[in-house]
Amino acid sequence: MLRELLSDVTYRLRALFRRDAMDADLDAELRDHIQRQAEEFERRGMPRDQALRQARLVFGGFESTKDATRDSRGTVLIESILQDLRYALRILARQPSFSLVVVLILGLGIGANVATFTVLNALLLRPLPVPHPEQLVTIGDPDSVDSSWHGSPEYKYVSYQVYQDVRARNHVLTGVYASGQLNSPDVVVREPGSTGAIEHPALRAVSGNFFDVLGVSAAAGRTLMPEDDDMGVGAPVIVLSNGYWQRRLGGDRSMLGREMVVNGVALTIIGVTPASFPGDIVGMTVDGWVPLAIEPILQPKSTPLDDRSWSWLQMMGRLAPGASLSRARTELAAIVADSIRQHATGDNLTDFEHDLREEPIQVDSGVRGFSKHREAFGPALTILMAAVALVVLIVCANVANLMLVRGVVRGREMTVRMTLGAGRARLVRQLLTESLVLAAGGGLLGLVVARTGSRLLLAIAGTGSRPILLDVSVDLRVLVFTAAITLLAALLFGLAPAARATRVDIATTLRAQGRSLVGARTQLGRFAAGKALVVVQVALSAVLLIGAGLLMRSLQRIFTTDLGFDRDRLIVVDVASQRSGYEGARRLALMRDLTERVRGVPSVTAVSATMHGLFSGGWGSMHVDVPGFTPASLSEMQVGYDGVGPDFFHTIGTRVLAGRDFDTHDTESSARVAIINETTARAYFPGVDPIGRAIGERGDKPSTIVGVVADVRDRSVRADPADSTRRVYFPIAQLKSTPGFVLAVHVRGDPAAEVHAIEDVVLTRDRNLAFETTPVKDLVRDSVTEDRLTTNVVAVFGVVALLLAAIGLYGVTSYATSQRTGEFGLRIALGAEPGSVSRMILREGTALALLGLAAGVPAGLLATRLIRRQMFGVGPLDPPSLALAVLVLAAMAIAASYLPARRAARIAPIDALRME
Amino acid sequence: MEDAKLDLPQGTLDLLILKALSLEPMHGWAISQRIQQVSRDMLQIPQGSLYPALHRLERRGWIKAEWGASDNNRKAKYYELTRAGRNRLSAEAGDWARLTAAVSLVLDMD
Repeated sequence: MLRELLSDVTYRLRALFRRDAMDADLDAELRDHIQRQAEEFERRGMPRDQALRQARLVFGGFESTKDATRDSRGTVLIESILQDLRYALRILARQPSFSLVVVLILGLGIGANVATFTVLNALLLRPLPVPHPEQLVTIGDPDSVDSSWHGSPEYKYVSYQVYQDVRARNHVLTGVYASGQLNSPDVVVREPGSTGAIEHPALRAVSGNFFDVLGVSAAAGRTLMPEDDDMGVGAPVIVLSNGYWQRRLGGDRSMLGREMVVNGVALTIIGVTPASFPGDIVGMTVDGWVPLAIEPILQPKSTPLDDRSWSWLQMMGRLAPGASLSRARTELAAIVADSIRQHATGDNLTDFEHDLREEPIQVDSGVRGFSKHREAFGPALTILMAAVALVVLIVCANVANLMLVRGVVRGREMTVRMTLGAGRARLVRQLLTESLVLAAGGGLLGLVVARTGSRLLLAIAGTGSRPILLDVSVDLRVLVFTAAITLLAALLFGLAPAARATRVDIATTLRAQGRSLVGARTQLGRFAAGKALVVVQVALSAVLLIGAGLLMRSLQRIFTTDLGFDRDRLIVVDVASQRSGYEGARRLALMRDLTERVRGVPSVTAVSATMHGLFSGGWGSMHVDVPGFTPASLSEMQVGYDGVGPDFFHTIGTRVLAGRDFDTHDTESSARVAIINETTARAYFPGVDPIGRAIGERGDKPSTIVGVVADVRDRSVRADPADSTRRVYFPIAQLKSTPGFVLAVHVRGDPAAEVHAIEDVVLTRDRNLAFETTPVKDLVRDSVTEDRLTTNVVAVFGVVALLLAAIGLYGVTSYATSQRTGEFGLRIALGAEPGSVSRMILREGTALALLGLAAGVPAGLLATRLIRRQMFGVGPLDPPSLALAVLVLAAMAIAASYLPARRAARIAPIDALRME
Repeated sequence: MEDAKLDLPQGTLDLLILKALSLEPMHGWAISQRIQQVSRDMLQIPQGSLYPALHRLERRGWIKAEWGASDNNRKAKYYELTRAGRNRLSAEAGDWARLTAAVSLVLDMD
C-alpha cells in the first residue's frame, strides 16, 4: 500500500517537472505503435501508403489519445492550478502599483499579527527547549522566580528544608531540583588583562541535580553534578550560560578552569551550557549557576540555606514513568504542607493553615518553565492579540474594497471570458488565486515586519533596567499561524469581490460598456458593497479607538493619581549597607551621616530614611497586639509595617492627620513610639483618638502611638487587594537591623537631574559603598510596564486603523464620484450650485461614518470588558474617551470625502458631457 | 470478424494487460495484438484506452516501462510486470474467477 503511494507520488512529480520529456516520449511511443500496425497491414498485402493510412484510421484520434493518457498521469489539477498561478502573476505584474499597495497593507496587517503572536508564543506557549519538557512539574508558584521572604513559612517558594523534604519523601518524581536567586552578587572575572572591575551578572544557586533533571548537558566542560551539593568535595564551581560566555568572555574556551570571584569567593568556571538552553525561566537572562551548597560562603552574613524562615527556592521535578500529574499534585502538595506544619508553630502555623484554605499549594505542568512575565504580560498580550485581530480585519476590508473597484474595471474581461465559455466557478478560482498570491506576498512581508515588530514590542514592554529577553525567533508554530492568517485574509478579502466580479449579466454589461448619463444602474450593487465595507472599517476603528482612549486615560490617571506622597519630587537611594560591611550601630551611624551629607546638596529640600523604600520592592508584614481591641480572627491583626527615619512623612509629602511626625529624639534608646495610617486607626480605634494608645508586634513590647498619617500606596499604583492597607510605622532605629536601608530624598526641580549630585555626595562617605539611586517616578513607571505596553501599542493600532479607514472611505467616495461625473455635470448644467454638489458628497461620506459609529460605539463599549482589569480611575462609559473616538472618526470622514467633493464641484458641464 | 467483437466490462482492461505482461515484457502494440490473438479476435483493445491504462498502471507501480531494442534495430517502449503487479494480477484474477463463477451460478438457475 505504502509502496503504491510512493510510486504514485514519484510518478506524479516526474510528470509535473518533466512534462515536456514525457510528452515527447509518449509521442514517440504512439508513433511506434502506428508504424507497427501499418507494417502488419503491409504484411497482409496492403500497399505501403494505404497501410499507413489504414493504421492511422484504426488508431483513431492521435491527439485525443495523447490527452487521455496525459489525464491518466493525475497531474491535471495541479497543472491547471499552476496555470492559474502563472496567469495571476502576469495580471498582477501588469498593475504593479495596485499589487504593491495591497501587499504593503497586507504585510503591515499580517506583520503586526505575527509580531504579537510571536511574543505571545515565546512567553505563553512555547515549551522549554529541553528533552521531554512535558514530564516536568513545578511545585509552588511558577511566576515568583525572584521572590524571597523572611518570616512565616511560604509555599509559593520554599525554604531549603522544605525542598529537602520534597526530594526525600516523594515517589512520583525521578528527580527534583531547587533554584534560588543570588541577590546582585559582586563579581570579578579573572582574565588576562582584567581591570578587576565589579560586575553584577544574574546568578542563580541551584541544587547539583539541576542540569540532570532538565536533561541539559554542557556545550563545553561539564555541568553541575549531584556531588557538587556536597561542600566537602572539590572546589567551589560555577557553570556559565552560553549567552554570558559569548557576550562577556567572547566565547573563549581557555576561560574554562579559570576563576570568577563572586562576593569575594573564588569560583572555578567548569562549564558552559549549550546555546539552545536559555535557562528554565522564560524571559529572564541567567548568566551562571552555582551549587546551592556554596550559598553560605557567598552570602555569609545572611544565609538562607540554614534557616527555615527564609523562603526563596523554586522547585521543578521530572515525573517518574507512569506517574500522572494529578497524582503528583496530591502527593507533592501534601509533602510541602506536612514539611511546613512539622516545624511551624503559633501564629505562623495559624497563618499557614489560613493561607492554605485561601490558596492551595500549586503543582503544575512545568512544560513552559518558570516565568515572572507570564502573569504580568499574559493578559496584556491577549488584549493586544484582540486589538491586532481587529487591525487585520480592517486591512482585509480595505483590500476587499480595492479589489471591488478593480473588479469593476475588469468587468469587461470577466464578461468576455464568460461569453467564451469559461464557467463561473473557474473564474472565481482564478480571482481567488490572485487574492492568494497577493496574500502570500503580504504574508512573506509580514514575517519580515514581524521580526522587527516583535523586538519593538519587547522594547516597549521592558525598560532599560529590566529588559525582557525572549527568544522571538520564528518557529513552526509561528509559521503555521502566519500561513493560517494569510489564507484567512485571502478568503476574507478575496471571496466576496470574486463572487461579485463574476456575477455579470453578460448582455447588460456588454451593452452598458457605453456609459449612460445617470450612472450605470448595474454598478450600484458594487457601490453598496464598497460602502458596507467602509461602514465595517469605521465600526472596527471605533472599537479600537474607544479602547485606546480608555487605556490612555487610565495610564494618564496612573501617572497623576495621588499616591499619598509627592512622587514627582522624590529620589530613593537604596543602600546595601550590610554587604558593604556596616552592621548594627555602624549601620545607623552610616544612615545618619548620609542623611546629613545628602541634605547638603543644594537642590535637596528634605532627607529621611525607610527600611522598605517606595516602590523599591521591599515589604514587611507582622501581627500586632492592640490592647483594648479584640479581633475576630488572627488575620485581622496583620499589618504592613515599615521602619522610617526622622521627618519621614514631611519628607515624602504625606499629610500628618493627628499627632506628630518622627523626629531626631526618637532613637534606639528613647521611648518606643509608632505612627499608624488612617486605615489602621479606623480598624483598631473606631471613634476613639488613637494618640497615646499602644500597638506593637505580637509578643513584643508595645509602642505608644504618637501620630496618624494619610494612607499611601508605596508598593503599587493599584490597590492590591491581597495586601493589607493597614500600616504601622516605627522609628527605623527601634527595629531589628536589616541588610540595608533606603534614603528618601525630596528635591526641587527635576529629580532625574539631581541623581548624579546625590551619588557623588554618597561616594564621598565611602568609595566602595554598594547603592543605587533612582527617581521614584521611574520606579512607579517601571511598576506599570504592562499598562504602558498595552496602551502604547493599542494606541498605535488605533491610529493605523484610523488611517486605513480614511483610505477606504476616500477610495469609495472618489470612485463613486468619478462614476457620477456625468450626473454631476448635468446637475450643474441644469443650474445646481457647485456647492450643493460637494455638500451632497460630504453628506454621503459623513453618513457612512455615522453608520459605522452607530455600530462601532456599542461594540466598543462591549469590548471594554476585555480591558476592565487594565482600566484605572475611569469607568467603561468614559465621556472624554468616547467623544474623542467619535470626533476623530467624524473628522476623518469629512477629511476623506472633502477632496472628492471639491473635485465634483469643479466639474465643468461640458467636460462631463464630452466624457460620454 | 467485426461482428464477433465484445465490449470490455469496466476495469477488465487492466487485468488483461497485466495478464499479457505476465508472460514477457512487451510494447503497447504487441500487447493489443496478443490479447486479440489469444481471445480469437473476440476482444479488441480500443487504442484510445490502451495507453491511458498503461500509464495509469505505471503510476500505480504495477508495471514499469523502459525503451529497448526491438526487431530490425528499432527501439520500442517495453512494459514489464513488477512484483507488486504480479501480486495485483493474482488478486484480480482470483476476484474475476469468483465473479464469473457467481454470475454463472445465477444465470444457470432455473
